Amino acid sequence: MEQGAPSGSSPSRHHSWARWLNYLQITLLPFGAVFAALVIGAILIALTGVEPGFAYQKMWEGIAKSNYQVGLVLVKATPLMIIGLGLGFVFNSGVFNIGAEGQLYMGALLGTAIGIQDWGLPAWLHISLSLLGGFIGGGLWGLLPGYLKARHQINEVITTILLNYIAIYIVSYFTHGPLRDNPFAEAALPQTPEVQASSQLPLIWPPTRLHAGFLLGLGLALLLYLITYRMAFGYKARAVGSSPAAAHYAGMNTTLIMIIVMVVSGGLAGVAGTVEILGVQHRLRDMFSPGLGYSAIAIALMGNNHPLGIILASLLFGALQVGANNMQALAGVPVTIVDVLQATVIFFVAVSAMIRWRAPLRTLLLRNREASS
Amino acid sequence: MNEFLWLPFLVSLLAAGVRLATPLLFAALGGITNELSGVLNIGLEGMMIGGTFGAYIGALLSGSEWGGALGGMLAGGLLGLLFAYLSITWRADQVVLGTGLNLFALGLTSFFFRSMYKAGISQFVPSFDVWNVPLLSDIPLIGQIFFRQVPLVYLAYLLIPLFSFLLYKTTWGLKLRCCGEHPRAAETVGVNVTRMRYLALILSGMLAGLGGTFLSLGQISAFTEGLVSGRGFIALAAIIFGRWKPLNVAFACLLFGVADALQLRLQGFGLPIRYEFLLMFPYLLTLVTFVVFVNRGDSPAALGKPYPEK
Repeated sequence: MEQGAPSGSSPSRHHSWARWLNYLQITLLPFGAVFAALVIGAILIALTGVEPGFAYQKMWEGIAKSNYQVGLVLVKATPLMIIGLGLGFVFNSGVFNIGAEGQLYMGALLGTAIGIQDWGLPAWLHISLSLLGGFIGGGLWGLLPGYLKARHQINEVITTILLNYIAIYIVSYFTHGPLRDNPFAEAALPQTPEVQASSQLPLIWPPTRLHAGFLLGLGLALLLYLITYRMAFGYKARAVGSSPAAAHYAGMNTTLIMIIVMVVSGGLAGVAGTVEILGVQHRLRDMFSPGLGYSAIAIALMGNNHPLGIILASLLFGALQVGANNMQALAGVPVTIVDVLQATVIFFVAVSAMIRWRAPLRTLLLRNREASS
Repeated sequence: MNEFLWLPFLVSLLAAGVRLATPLLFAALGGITNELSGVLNIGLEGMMIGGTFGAYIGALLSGSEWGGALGGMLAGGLLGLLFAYLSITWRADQVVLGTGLNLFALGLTSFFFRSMYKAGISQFVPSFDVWNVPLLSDIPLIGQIFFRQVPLVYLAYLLIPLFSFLLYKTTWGLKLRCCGEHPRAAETVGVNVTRMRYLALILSGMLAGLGGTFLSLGQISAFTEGLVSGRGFIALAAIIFGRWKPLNVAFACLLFGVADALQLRLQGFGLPIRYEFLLMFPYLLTLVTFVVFVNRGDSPAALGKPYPEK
């Protein structure tokens, strides 16, 4: 249990050819995984008596038939991308945070609580404060299991999953109770009032529903890339993931690093939840997330914990989601097939992380190089 | 509160606690087995989910609740086999796989269920009825709590001593635990680690599937999505809380079962506590006991590590 998620490429230097082979594998792998998932999906669809070709055609039309649909893909990809970035960051340190769902809820709760306040603030400030609230809410929900893991070696998988259920009930309490919109109405839904216009994320590609949260996601990806691969902290965080003992003996404060990456990961999940409210739903509803925090695990794994890979994987999963909605409406295939596809991707990525076909090649290349010099 | 009858309340609370602990116990006994063999199975939740649906289909096809139990065990066992293939033969990361397996079971059952019933409502199938154990059920209090239950609960009672014996008193159990403590040493003395771990995972899946069966055929005689909702993880916590000993784990499960029964009862009391907090209570209790009582020294030494190492 010491080694959580498979960490990405280790910070050691590879021989350049071997490095290219490594890149090739990392690039080809997700395509293989998705192809395999789609094949399995086709078998399942056929089992229910629907022609897979027809179903997948409806899926494709759902993704690409209009700008509006493309915008929807980007909208769906946005929270997945932001959560996935945080998860990639924490997985790199060998901590397996599966509590993104709860962190998303707690972030959305605090972000929405700020977003509905009528403070008369300018939009940039109100949005920033809400997002900051989202980061703090999610970050605090990541702090507890991070602290327990780093300081007391308490398995983060169990604590984070239990905290997910607790967070969902906390949000349920607030949407039914203190934050409920118009609680005296006869048929009041368990949801908060709409967030103020000053805290809603602006639409950036009208008439589609794409909002500025997508750009925020891309910006965060750049930021995390710089932290992970261009700054000392990112090097340390990855070193903790590669070998906690070695990192400790090298004088790194592994406890503090683990806690920080958990807080960042939880905070980003919280930002994602807030972005989903400020950009799309505008109200916090009871049970509003269809398992975004779990899907993002598949995204981080598929993207090899690398920001660029995570952007691509989230676009792909966003497309699958939008396409599956269309497939459900027009071909009668239940949308939950997306969960099966995501799980299949996780299986393939987990298995192929163990295939060491590049290792013998690398040894061979290095030996040739030594022989020639 | 003077007129409140404490004794009947307590008896019905404990009886419900035993009932709600049963699915946890089935899954936990399975989890003990695979953890002692050295495999960490986060996918217990998914195996239970598979069991709820497999049992429903089994009961639907066979027209009998026992056929349902077979279906539940079959579904769980197949998921266990899948987990074994990916984690042992391919040596993939067990935590990642377990998470994938949970998503897989959730998606697959929901996909098939919604394909079968467009309205999302299942039909009723044969389910387990309460069977009073002759004589024992007449014992005051004890009989009412423990012996007026559905047959699967009695099966769970039998499995506790059976697994204590099997895992801790037989040669097979010793070999199994050896695989979890020091697989290389086990291999040296002629134990086939791969085969033992496969067996443990399939057995674990079947037991978790039986736990799932209890949820769909022991409580409601139908299938709905979200029947398991975290019970697989509570079972995992119970394993650690009970330190891999079947009897202790059974008490841990009973504690969580009673907590669940208590929150269900308190909801009807009109207490000044919001029901969301009552619903949260079993998870919160699990979390607190897990954090406070977790004993790191006792876990199998090779838990979660693929074998051979490279």
